[in-house]
Amino acid sequence: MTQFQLTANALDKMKNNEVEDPVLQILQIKQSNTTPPKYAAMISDGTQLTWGYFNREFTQMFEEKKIKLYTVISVSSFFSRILPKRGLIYLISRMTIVGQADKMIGNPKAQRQQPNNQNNQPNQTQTQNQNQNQNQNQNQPQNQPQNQQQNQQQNQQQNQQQNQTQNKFNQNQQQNQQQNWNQNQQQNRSNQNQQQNVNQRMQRPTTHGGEHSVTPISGIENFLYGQFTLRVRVTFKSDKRNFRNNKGQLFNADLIDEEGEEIRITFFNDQVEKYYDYLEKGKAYYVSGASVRQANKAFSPLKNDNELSANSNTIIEACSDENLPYHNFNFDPIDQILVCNPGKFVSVLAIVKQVGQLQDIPTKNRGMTKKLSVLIGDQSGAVIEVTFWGDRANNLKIPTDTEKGYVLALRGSKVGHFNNTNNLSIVSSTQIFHNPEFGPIVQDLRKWWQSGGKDQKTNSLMRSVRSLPENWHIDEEKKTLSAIEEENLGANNPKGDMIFVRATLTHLSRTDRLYYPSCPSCKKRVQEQGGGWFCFKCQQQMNSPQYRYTMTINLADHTGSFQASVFSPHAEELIGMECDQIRNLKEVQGDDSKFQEIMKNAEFKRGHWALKIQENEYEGKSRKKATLLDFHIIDDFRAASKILLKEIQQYL
Amino acid sequence: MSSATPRINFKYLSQFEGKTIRIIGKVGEKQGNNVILHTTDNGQVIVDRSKNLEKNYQTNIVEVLGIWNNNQLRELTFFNLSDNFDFTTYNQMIDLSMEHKEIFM
Repeated sequence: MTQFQLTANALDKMKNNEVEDPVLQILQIKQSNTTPPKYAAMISDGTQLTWGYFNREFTQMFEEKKIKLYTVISVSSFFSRILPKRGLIYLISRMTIVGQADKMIGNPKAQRQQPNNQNNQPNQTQTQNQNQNQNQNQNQPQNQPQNQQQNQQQNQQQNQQQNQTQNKFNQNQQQNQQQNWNQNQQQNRSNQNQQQNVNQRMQRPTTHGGEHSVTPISGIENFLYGQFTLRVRVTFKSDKRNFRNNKGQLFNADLIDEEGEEIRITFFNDQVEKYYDYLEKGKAYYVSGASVRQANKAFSPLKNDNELSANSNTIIEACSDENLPYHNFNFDPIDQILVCNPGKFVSVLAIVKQVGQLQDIPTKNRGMTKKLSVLIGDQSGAVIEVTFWGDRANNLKIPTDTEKGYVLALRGSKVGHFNNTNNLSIVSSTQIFHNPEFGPIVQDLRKWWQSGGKDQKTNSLMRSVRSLPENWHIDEEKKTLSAIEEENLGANNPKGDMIFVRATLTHLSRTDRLYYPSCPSCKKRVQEQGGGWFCFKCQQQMNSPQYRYTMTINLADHTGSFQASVFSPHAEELIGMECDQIRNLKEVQGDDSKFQEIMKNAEFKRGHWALKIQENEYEGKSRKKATLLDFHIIDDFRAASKILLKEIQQYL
Repeated sequence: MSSATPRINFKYLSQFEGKTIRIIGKVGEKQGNNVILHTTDNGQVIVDRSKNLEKNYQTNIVEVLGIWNNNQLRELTFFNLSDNFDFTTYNQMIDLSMEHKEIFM
């Protein structure tokens, strides 16, 4: 059995941050009542014992018994805390397992609360209310000496004076004390206490000079009564909103701390007046005295299970923004967004593949609003549609030439579901970044775009019919005809769904009408009337109509077949003849054999076909119909083979 | 009824010792009853035409169907292709079909 060596006097040294990566041993283990449970254990350095509380991330290690009785660990990051009953304990935020010992090392005794011996001057605090001593101090890791709090000490004034000069952190105690004082006012029992507190207040420095003892956002749930201080940057500030029929108002702000964790804070009524103008996006503040509650994920894009709300005890003051990040995005890849549960908020970093048209959309309240959709894609190979509304749609200036790679970052866009696929909506709380400078992640995205991302075929995934992409026969994914029914195309989109297939034109219908008499202006069918022809739509009479094709063709592949309607100009291309010419041949000249020959020549052509699929009701049943949008006959087998090989490569 | 004769190129010949195969290539030098066939992957195959001498190749590129034995392809029959056959694409197809034999053979 290997002998483990614990760091001598680690627990003493940890108080002053005089030791790096102390090696300790786990003794008794306890579990909290929460779900999921969190674990605490007695930790020993061989001579002393105290309690260590482990972050949620270690819960699994305890459950899997990777950490158990006698396990030896090395702690690389910790915070200290004084708890009312337990005294000095440590919050372990980062640690590694050194090994498993089979017995207790050394002969540790429970650690007594010892004053901080750094300068032989104890750091002391004032409240007499042991049960409600919520003034908790947190250390910035590795930097400042740790404070201890003692109850019922008598030499506060002298010590405080000394501590102010020696230990910067004491000042935060005073400030926290002030909060405590406000809150515990009614509970202070002894005059002595009040006297001490009065003296203390007189000595309290102004808030600007002080350094606060700050809690990381990840640690706030360890605090009772919300007595913690955060040092954060505001990453988002919402507009003021009214609720309860305009009786109340509120706004939200998102805060990010040094570790990159985020939390939302909501201000209500009076707090709105107090802080709305004071808080600025991008600036840093100390936030203390806020209360904690469970997050309402439906309204917040943040991942934190907790949220804060400001109350009359909340104090917010501007401070240095050193080491505070500006953003924390948690971008999701688009292929995951496409299949996740709609209704949630996601952040995405992608390149704009296609810009749609600005449209006018009627709103519920009989008004009109603007709508603009763009298609974005990322390295996951998937694309998704993002819809902008109102002013944001109106003011969106993204170039339609997407060749260079226009980067769009969205924070907190809402996932919706339509037409059998997910999409993204920009809501009021969504933050939009155009070509942001986020560093390597953006560079990687651009690199992907330039070296093939922009040429990558998009998975058409039932895109509704808009404009046909130019090189669709090369770039777009080709499906089989059976996909029309399998994917239920056209069912959810009255405008129709697009599909690209590789199939053979097996038959040109000779029995169905091949052409029709049409109005030259509106193309609608005209009726014979009074020696001429009449268009009901244009209310115009004409001597002879224009004949236009209305062909029905049958397409087939190895999975089945489907009929499609073909109109001008595609019909002319297929038959190889103008409509008037073929009508002439058929009706005027009555040359049936030539007619049949022409039809036959048009048949059995292999090609790529772009179809629009729509569903309509016909005699009580819903049926799908296909309209030909474009086609390319495969006559150059060489080129077609190359396209096919390229498609095959994508599968391998 | 046996399955179709496999289409291969030069590098796969060794796997088909004694078997009937099809191979496409450019017609090269004649040596008595033999003809050199330059395959799509730059290999050279000696085709023994002794059993089929009456018929002549009519295009520059042909497909020969024969039995591969002892480093020679004993021709049974051939097919005229064009003078313009795309070697690269065809070669890629051969490689893919050999990689995914279960679909093709």
